[in-house]
Amino acid sequence: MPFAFRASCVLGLLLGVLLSCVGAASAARVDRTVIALYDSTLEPTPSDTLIHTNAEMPLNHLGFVLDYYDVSQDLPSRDALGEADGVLTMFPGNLRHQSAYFRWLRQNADVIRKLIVLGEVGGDLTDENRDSINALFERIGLRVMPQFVERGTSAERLATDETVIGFEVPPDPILPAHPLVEPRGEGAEIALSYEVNAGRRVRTDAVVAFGEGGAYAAPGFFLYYDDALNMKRWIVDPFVFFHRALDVPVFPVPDTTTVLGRRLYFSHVDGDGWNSVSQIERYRGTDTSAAEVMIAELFEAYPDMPVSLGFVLGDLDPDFGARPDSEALVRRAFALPQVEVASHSRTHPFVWGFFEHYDRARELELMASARGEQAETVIDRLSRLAGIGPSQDAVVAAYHDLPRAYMRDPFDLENEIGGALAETEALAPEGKPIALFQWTGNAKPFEAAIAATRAAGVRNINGGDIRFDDQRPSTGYIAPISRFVGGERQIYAVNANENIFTDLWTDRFSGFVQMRETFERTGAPLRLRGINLYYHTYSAERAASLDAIKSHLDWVRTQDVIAIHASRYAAIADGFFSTRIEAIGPMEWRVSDRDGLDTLRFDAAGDREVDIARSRGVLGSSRFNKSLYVALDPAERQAVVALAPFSGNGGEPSGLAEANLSEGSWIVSAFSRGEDEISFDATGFGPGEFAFRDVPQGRYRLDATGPAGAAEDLEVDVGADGLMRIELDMDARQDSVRVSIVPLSAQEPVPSGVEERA
Amino acid sequence: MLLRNTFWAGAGVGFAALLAVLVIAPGPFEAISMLDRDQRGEAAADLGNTIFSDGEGDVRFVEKLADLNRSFGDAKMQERAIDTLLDEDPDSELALRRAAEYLSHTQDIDAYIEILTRLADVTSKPKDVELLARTLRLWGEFDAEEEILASFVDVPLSPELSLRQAEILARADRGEDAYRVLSRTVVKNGPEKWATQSLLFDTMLDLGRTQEATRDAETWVRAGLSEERQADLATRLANQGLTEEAMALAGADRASGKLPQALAWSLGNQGHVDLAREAVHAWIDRVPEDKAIDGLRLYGRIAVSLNSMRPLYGDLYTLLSSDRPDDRRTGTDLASVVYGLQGFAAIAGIRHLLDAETVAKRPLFAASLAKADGRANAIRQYLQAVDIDHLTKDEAIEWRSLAEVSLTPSEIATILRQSFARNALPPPLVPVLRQAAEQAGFVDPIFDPRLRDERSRRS
Repeated sequence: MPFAFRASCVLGLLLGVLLSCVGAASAARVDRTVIALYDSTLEPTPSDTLIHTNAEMPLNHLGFVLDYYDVSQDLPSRDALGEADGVLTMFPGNLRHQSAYFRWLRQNADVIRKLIVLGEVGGDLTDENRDSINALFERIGLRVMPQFVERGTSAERLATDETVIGFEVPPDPILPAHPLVEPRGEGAEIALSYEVNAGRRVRTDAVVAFGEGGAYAAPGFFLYYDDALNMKRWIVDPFVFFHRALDVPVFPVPDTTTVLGRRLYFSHVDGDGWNSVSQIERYRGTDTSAAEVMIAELFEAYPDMPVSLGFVLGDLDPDFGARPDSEALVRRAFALPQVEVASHSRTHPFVWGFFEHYDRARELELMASARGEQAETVIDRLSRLAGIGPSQDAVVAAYHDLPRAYMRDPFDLENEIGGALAETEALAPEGKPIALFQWTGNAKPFEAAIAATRAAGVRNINGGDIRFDDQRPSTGYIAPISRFVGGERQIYAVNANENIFTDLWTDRFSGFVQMRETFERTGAPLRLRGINLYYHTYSAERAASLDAIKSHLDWVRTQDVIAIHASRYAAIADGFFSTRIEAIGPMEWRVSDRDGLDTLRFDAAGDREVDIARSRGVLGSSRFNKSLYVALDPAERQAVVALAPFSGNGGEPSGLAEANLSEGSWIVSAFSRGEDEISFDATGFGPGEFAFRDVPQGRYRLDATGPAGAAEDLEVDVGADGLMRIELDMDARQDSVRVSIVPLSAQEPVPSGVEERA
Repeated sequence: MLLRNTFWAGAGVGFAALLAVLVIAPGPFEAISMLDRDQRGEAAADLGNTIFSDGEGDVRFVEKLADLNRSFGDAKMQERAIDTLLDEDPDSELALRRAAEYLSHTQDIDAYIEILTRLADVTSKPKDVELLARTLRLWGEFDAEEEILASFVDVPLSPELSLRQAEILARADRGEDAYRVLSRTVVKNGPEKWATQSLLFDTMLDLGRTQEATRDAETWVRAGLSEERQADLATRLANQGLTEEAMALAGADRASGKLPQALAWSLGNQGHVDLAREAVHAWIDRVPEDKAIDGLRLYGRIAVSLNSMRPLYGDLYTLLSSDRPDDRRTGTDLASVVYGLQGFAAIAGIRHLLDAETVAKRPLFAASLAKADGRANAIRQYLQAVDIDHLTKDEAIEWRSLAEVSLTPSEIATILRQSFARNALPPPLVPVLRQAAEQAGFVDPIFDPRLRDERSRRS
């Protein structure tokens, strides 16, 4: 190789390294961590905290991940504080070690960017404690005073910012008791304040306020809770409150509600009740199991609707009530293309905590106690003498006071998870992998259990119990995305199942129809969640519950959603936490480590649009209400998203390179977009619907090639509006469809959206 | 003949059978109940809905049908059945409860509230009024909630809701009603307890029930009301010119027997030094004589701190001029407190009222006076009479300053080592003992803590 060439190669390499270093140096990581402080002597674990059950969801929606610290064990270091956007507290009362906490506050006041205090400050209002917290409150423009405003104090409302106050319920006209916090200087933006008599003087009582140093909301003024009704509603708008408190800059929020511009939909079933006999009248006398009814009427009757079936392996055991057709039915279900293989454990734990430090002797005691003090039953004795196994009554929990359903054998974590996953996968057609573990019972697994699912290479889901309707009349009932347990992450289901609508499956069997309200309220005006139809096999025991599920399936078919498997949702949710965002220029970000997440969101983005030319790995974008959703190419792992001022649909696009895939009903991969062609692979459920914007006017040819030689050839006309809509009637559930779009020769303008099938 | 007989026999049997069918055929209610009993709720609901749509069935049937549809069937049919029951009897508690239960599981909050309102109107039961009021508040319907609570004054509600009800009534100038509600409300603990007591107290004052208010407050004090809150209530009485009642409450027996420092300070800081004085004096009257000085110190500190000296001097003059030895002793103690806080100049005006015999019972004070008078022997005499074991920190420092100029090291060491031997030497005097012993050339482990420790280690 000539020297000059070698030298130029080396030089080029060095230059490349230098440029990448410069690039890296100029990239600023977008911190999206909020430190959440709690006291385990008051709230035992992070998922028990007021923060988790109230504040974490709106913070997730804004793109933030919470990092929990137990103040009774370990307070955050200065380094940790320096990397976090802020510190949030929502203490239920005084901390056990309040002195240490307030001392830590004072010592770290200079490094805490923002302090957000919802409710109690965490200690007595001594001079020393107040001095500590005021070191931070003064940066908000507030000062905690020694006086206390008693309940019912006569007060005159001074200021109300209606963009923040009165989100779900107005403030109570009878003031709740709270400490007096006064504005100090001009730095505070007061959202709610009163004039009160305190300490023989008239004072300004700032109960909700923001400032450069964070925000504060007094106890009783941000969330209303009625302990007799056991219901809550937000007084402040938590989304606006946290946005202002953290002074959130513009950055692409990893979004878990939308895929390819459409609200996501998935369904998952827990296998409980597999062997129950259906009591539906039309099956009377036929000994048809709920499983069979479910498969026929909810799976096979809806081949376009994906569903993940979590099977309880113990349901195949004759000791636990298996029927002759139990195994055949599960094989039948798993063989369906739209059914995803999942596990719902082996012995169905009800109380996961019991098994973290499992004690078989204790479990046996509980079993004996549940059966009463009587000696073994006659049947048990005869069975034992005949060498037959114990009766079902002896080893199957009839109710949830016992730690799991199937108790014959000692519990073993590996067997319960890894073993159950492997044996369940063996019931599926060869080559169809198991993808998901669906938590059972109280859905509060311990760290090692979650780790076992990760080690087995599957996603996990369940817990959360999201419901948002007149019976749970608050966004406060929408759970956050996940629950952290030690170093592991459990992904919550997106919606509740039929249990809470049917009095735990004892009455009101049509009650699950009410789930529709949650589907709708979590979709608009803010799209807070996708749609998750989650139920148990035993819903097929009753006509009313079966019909309720059908009503939802029928409704989903009428919505513009993208149907995915539950494991894909879990991957998206995992991606929310792993996604790394770096600002690499004005309105330009590099996004990596996304796991399964492929949508970013910008809120209040009416004045901006995606600059496809400057972006990389962007399939397209769409708008819903005030938000801009950006769909990323799953193949591009280091996507770049650039925004530009909204051009207002001006200018005719010159070629397909600027075409914007704004929505689709199938998952797209291997996407290629050039001046003269767009091509991609797609898999999904139902008809394949795609919409492109910014397409040059003209006629286009679309070729779609699917599995088993299926093909469609279409000609599509695009009018002046630049909109191309496609609908493919092919089966893309298991094998992908290859789509190619090329322009044909110039044609006379025709009405847009007209497609002519060849 | 035989054929005719057979015919008539058969006809008779047929007729009997028909009659039997008509008599024992189940009616609508029985028909659906039987199916339900046979675990065929869905079939029961379907049959019932058909019968109902045909316009048949009595009230009992419709009630059963509503329940069946709730469990197994169609929510809309459940609603129709309930509507039928309400049309039949709009004020039927059972029908209204069915309607409320149904609507509590729908998404029609307005209809739900309407039914709860009708139910509360019909029954006036506490649980119904509570549920309505709380539901209204949850949905931000505060005006409607107020209206409800203001109209169901005679219905005993939970403590929290009773308090809220009373707050609303008080704001509406319905003091008697508020009083009635609060008087029957029993709050054992929790945040509502003080709020209820406070509002009841104010309400009684507004109604002129001052004696009752004071008596209730005294009861609360005996039951453990905090000193700060006791002060708050006494201040309210004082602010309304009810001086006698305020004094009575300020001096109320707290049962704990402890010096009410927080009470006195709180009263003083709110401008009521007179009430603080009363609180202290009432306490002094209840405790053994040797404790009284603690109360006097507290009173003295408050008066000095708040610059309220006139009443203090008035007390001094009155006490020291009294014929009663107890009064003169109290006055002397008070004078010693004032002296300790502000020095000799502060008591110069009443110095002449102090008699030697009484003063001698406070030897440290007497020593200080003797020093002011230049009576060296008297100082020595009094210093040696001081009960070293029970000196406060300030008193110990005072003793030290007098002893160092009035006693020899040997005398100091001799006095102090006795207290030291009893393990009662006040800490400020330990270094004084050590220094005096050294100066006096005493090497006695009994008063040398270092030597004593070593000796006890060896043994």
